[in-house]
Amino acid sequence: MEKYRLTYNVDMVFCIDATGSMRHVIDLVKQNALSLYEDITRAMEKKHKVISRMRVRVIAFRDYVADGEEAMLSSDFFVLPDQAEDFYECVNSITAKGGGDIPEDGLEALAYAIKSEWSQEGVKKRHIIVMWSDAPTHELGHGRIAPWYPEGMAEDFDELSLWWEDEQLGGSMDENAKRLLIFAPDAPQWSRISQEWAQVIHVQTVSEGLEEVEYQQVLDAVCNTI
Amino acid sequence: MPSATPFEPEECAALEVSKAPGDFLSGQSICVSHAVLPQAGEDSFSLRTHARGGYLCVADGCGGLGSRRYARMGERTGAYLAARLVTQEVERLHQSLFPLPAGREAGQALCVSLAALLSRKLRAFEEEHSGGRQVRIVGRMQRALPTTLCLLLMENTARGLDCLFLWAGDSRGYLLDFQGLHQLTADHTSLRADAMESLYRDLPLTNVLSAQDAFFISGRRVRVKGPCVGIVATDGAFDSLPNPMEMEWLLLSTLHGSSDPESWKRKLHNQLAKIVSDDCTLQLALYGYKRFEELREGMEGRRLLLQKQFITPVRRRKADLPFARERWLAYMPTYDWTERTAQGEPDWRV
Repeated sequence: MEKYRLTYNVDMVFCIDATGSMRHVIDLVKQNALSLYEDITRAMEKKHKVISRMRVRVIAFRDYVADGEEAMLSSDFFVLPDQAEDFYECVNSITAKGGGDIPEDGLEALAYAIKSEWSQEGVKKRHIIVMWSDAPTHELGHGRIAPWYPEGMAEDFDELSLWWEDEQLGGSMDENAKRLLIFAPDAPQWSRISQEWAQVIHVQTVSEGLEEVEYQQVLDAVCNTI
Repeated sequence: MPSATPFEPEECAALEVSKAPGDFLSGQSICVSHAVLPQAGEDSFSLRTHARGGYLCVADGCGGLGSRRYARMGERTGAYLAARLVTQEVERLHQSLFPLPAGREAGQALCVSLAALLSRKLRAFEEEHSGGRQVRIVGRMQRALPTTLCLLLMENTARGLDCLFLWAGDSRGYLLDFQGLHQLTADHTSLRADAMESLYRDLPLTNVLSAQDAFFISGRRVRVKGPCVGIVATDGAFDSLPNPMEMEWLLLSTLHGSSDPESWKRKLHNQLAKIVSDDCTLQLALYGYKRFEELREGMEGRRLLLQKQFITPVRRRKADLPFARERWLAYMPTYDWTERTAQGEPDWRV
C-alpha cells in the first residue's frame, strides 16, 4: 500500500499576446511562462503529487487584420523535461510587434487552445490554458475579412462558450480536467469569460505582471486543483 | 496578525471515558490529522464525545478555490481560515444542536439554520478581514473562505445510537459495525458517482461552504441498534487509496494489532502518513462496546473476509482496474448506504 500513488498527466497551452504593446512586458511574460512550468512541478513535488507526464504548447497571437500570416503562430506540444530546450527556444523566439489597433484577437487564440490535441491518457489529468495579454479583445470574427482567417473558427462568443462548456463541442478537453488562467485587464470579453465560464481564474492585470503574493495565490490555485 | 494559536485545532483524542457500568468504551474517540505541509494543512476539526453522545466534526478548506491570502491573518489562505472558522463555530454552538430532530421536517429546518449560522460567521469574517483590498483575482475558480464540512451528531439512548450526519462538499460520514464499513453521506459533486468512480473521475464540487455564494447542508439520520463506530473523514483519508475497500482495510488492519484506542490511533496515523498525498483528518467515536477487545475480536471475522474476498485478490492484480471494479461491485451493497441502510427506522435524509 505504501507505494500506491495516483499520478497526473498535465497538459498546458500558453497563449501569449505578441503585439507591439507587449514590448515592455514580453520578457516578463516569457519568464513567467518558463517559470510557471518549473514552479508547478516544484509545488507538486512538495505536496508528494507525482506528475507522470507534462506537455506544453505555445500559441503567440496578434491581429488577423493588421498582421497577416503572423497573426497566429502555434507550436506542437513539447514533452517536458525531454524537450525543455525546444520549449525554451520556442518561447524565447517570440517577439512583440504589430497588432494594429488596441484590441487583439485573443479569443481566436483561445479557440485554438481549446481545440488542442489534449492528452486522454492517465487516470488523473489536467488540461490548463494560460492566457497573457495587455489588451481587450476584438469581437470573435473581427478578422474574418482577412484571407488568412481560419476556416472552422467559432462563429461568435456564444459558440466559443459552448466549445469551453461542452466537451462534445470543444474537442478533447476533459470536462473535469480543464482550467483557464487569464492574465489580462478588466476588459469586457475577459471579464465576461471569468463571470460566465466554469473553471476560470482571471488575474486582472493593471501593470507589469504580478506581485509576489498574487503570483503565489495563482500558483496555489492551480496546484491545489491538480 | 493575532497569534495563529487560536486557529490551530487542539491536539486530539480528548477521551472522556464513560463511567456507566458495563459500557466502558462508549464515547471514546480517536482523531488522526495529518498535514502534507506541516503548519499549512487546510484541514481542521473539533470534537466532543461522551457516553451519552456528542459530535465529530471535520472541515477541509478548498485550497484551489480559496488560495487568496489574508494579510491581516499572517498571509494564511482563505481555505486554511475557513476550515478553522467552521470547526470553531461548531464547537461553540454544538450544544444547541441537541436533542436531535425527531423527523424529516425538523431535520430540514436544522440543516437550513446551521447553514445560515455558518454563512453569517464566514461573511462576517470576510467583511472584517478583506479590508477593502482591491480584488484583482476573480473567476468561478476563486471563492471567499471555501471549505467542506462533515459533522456527526450522536445521541446514545436505550433505543440505540441515533446518528445525524450533516455535510457539504466531499468530506464523508461512515459507520463501522460487525457487517463492515458503510458510507452514509453522498458527495456534492457535478455528477452522482459511486465511491469507486469518484476516485478516478475527479469530479468538481458543486456545493461548499463559503462567504460568497449560497450553499446548503445535507442531512442524514440513522439509528444504530448494536455496537458501532461513528466516523467522519476529509477526502485526503480516502482519496489516496486505490479503491473504497482499502478504506475499511485501513481501519480493520490497524485495529487488528491494537490493544487500546490510543494504539489504534497511533497505527492509523502511521499508516495514513505513509500513503496520503493530501491533508487528511479521520475521527472515530466508539459506542456500545464493553471492552476494546470486544470491538477488535468482533471485527476479526469481517477482517478475514475482507482480506480474502477483496483486498488480496485486487492487490495481486494491482494494474487490473476492471477486476478491481468487479470486486467493488460485489462489495458495494454492504458499503454504500448513501441511499438506504440495513437499519430500521428512523432513517431519513433531507
